[in-house]
Amino acid sequence: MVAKAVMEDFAERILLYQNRLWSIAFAFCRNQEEAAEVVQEALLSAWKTRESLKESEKLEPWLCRIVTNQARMRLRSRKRKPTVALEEVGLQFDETGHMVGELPPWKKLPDSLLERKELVKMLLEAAEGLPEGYREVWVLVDQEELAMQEVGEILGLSVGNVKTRLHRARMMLREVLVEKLGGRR
Amino acid sequence: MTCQEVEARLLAWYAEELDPATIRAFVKHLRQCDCCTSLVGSYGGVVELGKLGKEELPVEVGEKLRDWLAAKTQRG
Repeated sequence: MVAKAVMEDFAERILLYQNRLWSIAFAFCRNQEEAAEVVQEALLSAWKTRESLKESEKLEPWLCRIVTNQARMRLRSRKRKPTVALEEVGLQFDETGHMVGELPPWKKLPDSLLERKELVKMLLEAAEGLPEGYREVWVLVDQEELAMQEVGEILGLSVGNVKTRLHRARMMLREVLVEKLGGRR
Repeated sequence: MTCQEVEARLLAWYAEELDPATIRAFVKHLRQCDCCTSLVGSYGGVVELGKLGKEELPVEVGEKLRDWLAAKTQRG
């Protein structure tokens, strides 16, 4: 009876975060069914390992970490569809720190919702080609809008490392966007 | 500020972490450099579109998850 009450209490607390957990799982899997499975696996794992949750630790980042790990495992076991692997992008600078070459003028994002949706879809597809460590950070910061400190706690990275990975991920994705909107870099 | 320094501060610019003096230098550079204006704009485009890419939990999936969790709770 006590165990059941404890589990119900735990389940109630977890349900507060189910939107975020599902959203993270979906951002990795890009598939509703798989995302739901990932959340279920994560919740089971959370229940089994609930005693590892320290008193001082917040429930939400702890759950986010478990979902991220589950999604990571799922992606690794999945036969990945071939994606264009994005390469590390380095702008060229001369010895005085000025850019070598020219960037084409940036065309601002279209106002039309439909065109924006198309760009978002393109960006999400491109994100699948990011190196795993960059993609995880990009999903959690730019899609989930978690604070960099939180992301560091979830992924076990320093804030500096989160920033570096995020910047590189954005620079890689920028190439894709520029290609689509404004010609070559 | 140089182009290289602008690139190194892009993340802080969008995170609004730059101090006022750096913001002034950053903006001053952008006024004089088309390449960096393009870089800042396209980087911001990625940040903006990333936020739009977030998917909310569909109601029916949420209900399934709740039912699943309730069933697990019942079983103990």
